[in-house]
Amino acid sequence: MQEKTHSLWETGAEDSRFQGAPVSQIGHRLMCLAAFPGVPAAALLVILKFGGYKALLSAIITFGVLCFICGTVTSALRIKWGLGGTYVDGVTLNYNGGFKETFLYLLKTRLLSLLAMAVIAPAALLLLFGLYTGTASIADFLTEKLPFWVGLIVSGIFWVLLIVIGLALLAAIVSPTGFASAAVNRFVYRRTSPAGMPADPNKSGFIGNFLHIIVPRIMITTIPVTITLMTGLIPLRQHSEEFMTRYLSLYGNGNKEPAMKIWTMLQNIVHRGFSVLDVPSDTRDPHAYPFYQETTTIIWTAILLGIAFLVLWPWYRYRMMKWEINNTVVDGYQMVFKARMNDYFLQWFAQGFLVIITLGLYGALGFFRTSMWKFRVKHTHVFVPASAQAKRDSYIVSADELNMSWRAKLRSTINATSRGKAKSYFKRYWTLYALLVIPLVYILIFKYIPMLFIQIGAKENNIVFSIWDVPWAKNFGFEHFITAFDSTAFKQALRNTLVLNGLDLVFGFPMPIVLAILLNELAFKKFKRFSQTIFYMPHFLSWVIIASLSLQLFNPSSGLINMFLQRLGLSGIDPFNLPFQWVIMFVFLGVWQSAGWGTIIYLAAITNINPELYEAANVDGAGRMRKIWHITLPGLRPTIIILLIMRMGGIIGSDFERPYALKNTIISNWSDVLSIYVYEYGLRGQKYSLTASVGIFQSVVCLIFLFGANALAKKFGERGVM
Amino acid sequence: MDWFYIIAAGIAAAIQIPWTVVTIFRVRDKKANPWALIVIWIVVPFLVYWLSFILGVFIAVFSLVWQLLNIIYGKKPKAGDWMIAFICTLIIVVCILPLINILARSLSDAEALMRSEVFLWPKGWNFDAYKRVLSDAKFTWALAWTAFLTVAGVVLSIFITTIAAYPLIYDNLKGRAVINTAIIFTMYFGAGTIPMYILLNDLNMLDTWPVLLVPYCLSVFNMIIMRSFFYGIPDSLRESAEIDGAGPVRVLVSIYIPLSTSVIATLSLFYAVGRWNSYTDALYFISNKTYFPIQLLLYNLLKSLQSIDPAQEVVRTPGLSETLRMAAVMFATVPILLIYPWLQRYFVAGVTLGSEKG
Repeated sequence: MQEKTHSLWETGAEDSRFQGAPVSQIGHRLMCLAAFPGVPAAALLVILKFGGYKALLSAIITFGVLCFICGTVTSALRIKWGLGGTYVDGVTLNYNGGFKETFLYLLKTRLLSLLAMAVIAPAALLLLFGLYTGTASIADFLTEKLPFWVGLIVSGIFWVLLIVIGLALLAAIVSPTGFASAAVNRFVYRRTSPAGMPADPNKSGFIGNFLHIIVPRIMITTIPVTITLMTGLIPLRQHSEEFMTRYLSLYGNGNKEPAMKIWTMLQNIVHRGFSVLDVPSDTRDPHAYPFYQETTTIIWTAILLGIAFLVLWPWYRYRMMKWEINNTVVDGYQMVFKARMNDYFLQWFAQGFLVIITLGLYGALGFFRTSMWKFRVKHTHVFVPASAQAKRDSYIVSADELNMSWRAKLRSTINATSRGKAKSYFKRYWTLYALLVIPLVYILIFKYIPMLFIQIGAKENNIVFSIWDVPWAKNFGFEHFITAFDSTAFKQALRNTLVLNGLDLVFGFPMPIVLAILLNELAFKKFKRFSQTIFYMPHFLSWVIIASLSLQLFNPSSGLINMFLQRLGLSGIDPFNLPFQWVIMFVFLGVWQSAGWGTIIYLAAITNINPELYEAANVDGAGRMRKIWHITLPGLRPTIIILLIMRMGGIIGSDFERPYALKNTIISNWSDVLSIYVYEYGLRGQKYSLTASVGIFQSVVCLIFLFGANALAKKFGERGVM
Repeated sequence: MDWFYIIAAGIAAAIQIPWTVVTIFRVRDKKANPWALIVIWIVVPFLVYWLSFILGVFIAVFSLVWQLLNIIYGKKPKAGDWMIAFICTLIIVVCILPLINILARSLSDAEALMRSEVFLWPKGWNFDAYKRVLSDAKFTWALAWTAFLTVAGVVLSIFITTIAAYPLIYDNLKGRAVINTAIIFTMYFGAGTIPMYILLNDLNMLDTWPVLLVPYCLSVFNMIIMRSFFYGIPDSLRESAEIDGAGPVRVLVSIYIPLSTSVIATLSLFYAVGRWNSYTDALYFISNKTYFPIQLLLYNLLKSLQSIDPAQEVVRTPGLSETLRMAAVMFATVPILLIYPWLQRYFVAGVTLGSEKG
């Protein structure tokens, strides 16, 4: 029997889709997380009040139990809801588990795995305890009764056990569901079925599950921990040295040489590998022991942990997902997971990056999970046997009709009609080209020719000679980039640009949306028009004017705001002298100036939303918030995405007038952004090459961000800007 | 309840993330304790979640009572409308209060200013500051010069924008895609300040007045707005004119321009505001003070006043410089504030067009 992978309508991704809104996902996640901040805070309070181990222990237990229960509730809800909102090839998946059963089952498996952990844990704890405190007695025993080599081997085994079991214990703590997930997967797929029919169970056996789900999980938890230990968050060396000194000194008779040799060798490895917060400073020779330097250690730890969580984690999730789906049979149909690894990675990073910068961590997790579900379902297909094919063929639309796009049709029609007119074309339309001459010459001179001059960034600093005659700079022309990235001023400017733009994005981007919705909801029409007029007003003020205004308003002695604060009995503010307050003022003034103007686009988008939707919602008895949430915001989504893309393009670009008007010498460490750097070092300090290379850097990063954000938006099925 | 959680998370994040960023820098500078980070990530969520929960309960109870009252007295619930109106009023106050304060200051007595008595209404009415500003030759010259620059710049810009936008609406213009891309590309990628400076240096345009008009006279974004507007004019008009024998230029002058006065008004406003408010190009490229536009003059005034130490300030007439500056600010602000409300309908349409096609 010939079988092939098949999508029902032959349109690919269309029919594997995920229809749940992210809201439930976020809600469930947040319900769990809502318990999180309260418990440790209470625990902290208890500890501070009463102190001691008992308080700590009780806090840990309470925290653990609450998190365990909340986590299980969330998982059960997510499984139920996630599978319930899924379509695969036109077939609705149904989850027949029921919330209560799922919850109980999850609870049972997780508790069992925790019990298993509880058996391992004491043993490991004993070992750890013995090695750290009872070392001497064990060593005494070993050295008195047994020959030297046996002692060495036994202590070596102890060390291996310490590392392995300690890490396994950590793995168990970090991932309490690790051992249970295989069982949970079988349970979940046994209860999943299209159209409510009973499903065949997940095909994979226990061993396969163990290899594909548990082993990667252990790896993902142990590898970062191992790396962290290796690079030195725990000062193991001191203990090992003590241990060995005692060991060797006790072993009085006999030849120490071979043992010392081996031990020195081991110690060298340990020295280099296990870093060492307790090494005396005079031995910190960075050439001999690169890990000795604390900063190096921290950087390496960060890099390796980053690799572990950014590469290994998605790798493991992908592997697990593929294994699960490829081993699932639903109603006799084999599920197939077709996503490639790099797609998954892209999705992972893109989604993580986008959501984390646009939302808080809490909402981000929910959105992240939703998008991962969508991805999973998009790439899940049904493997249809040939016998079932015939039944489905009757539905399939003619492939020619689908393949011929409307663009192609349109193009063929246009070609057919315009060919006849070609002869008289230039005679008729030469004036159009004549009109275009002036703008094109302008564009050429003032936009494209400067692009040729960008090369000054890679040449020696010279403006007297023609730019073509100036020799190239050192380091293959990268001299100025290197200088820039070495200089504190540039780094400071880069930091300030990123910080100020980031804050602008966080606070300035959502404000117009909120304002537009407010204006839209405003019931009094005349008042609405009046407020619009006033809201637009700040946009028409120049930054010099706004700086004058704010200098006046925030004046510590006579300013309006400080007068107001004084009348309220509060302490005054002085943003022009205090960097932190200056940053806040900068962001606030940005919002003040541009939020009203930004509403224009959103208001226009709101008017384009079909009013019937609102009427239907009214009939259904939806309240104001519901209408905003379910109609207005989804209607604004494309606009928001496009504007967000444009914002992303400008994340490193910097406006000149705003910071330059608001800055002064006192807070210049926080206000000097890249454009000010270019002005002060380039135009005033005449370091043209240096600042031109900074400009190149800025433009290229802008382009990368713009195209990246655009590609991401398109990847998620949104309309991009290009 | 979802939206409630989302708002709570948003508030938590809005507080936590900037606070964290700032704290990281402060920790680096040894101005803050690293434990502050832990406080931020435990105490802030705690406060936000539970306080917002309590707030949510209060709101729920309040709205229940309100609806009950409305049912009893037989009205439709309109509390939300009033609340939104109230919020809008607050925002209006925030927008407009600074300007009123400045106006009051510019009309006040210098001594009342120093005693920080001026709030929203001038103390000791007088127009001395305005008189003195107007009698200052440098200032009046800068005003007139900027007015000239603005008018000339608007004419030039509108001209070049129109002739750039118009040919691009012809579907059958050969090479349209290339020209279009070449123009729009410059919107996303610019060479930067230094290459422009070198170019102007090569062209011997530095420190001459055309440098304030020519280099930035075409805004691609505005060109796109105009093109979109031209697209909106029905093709049948153009075709019927062409059948009557009119060439493209004739069509532009006698059909398109008369029909697009609104968009021309909008773009004129944009260009005028841009020219009137900008001081960057003058700062970069001009050193002859005769050619300084008003904003740069104000900027220099601002900076010179900021750097004067208080002791010297006392020697001069106390507070007088402030009223003077406020009067100057009023002069630089009022022209545009008088114009824009009348053009509101047009520029709203203009921005919308630009956003749709941009």
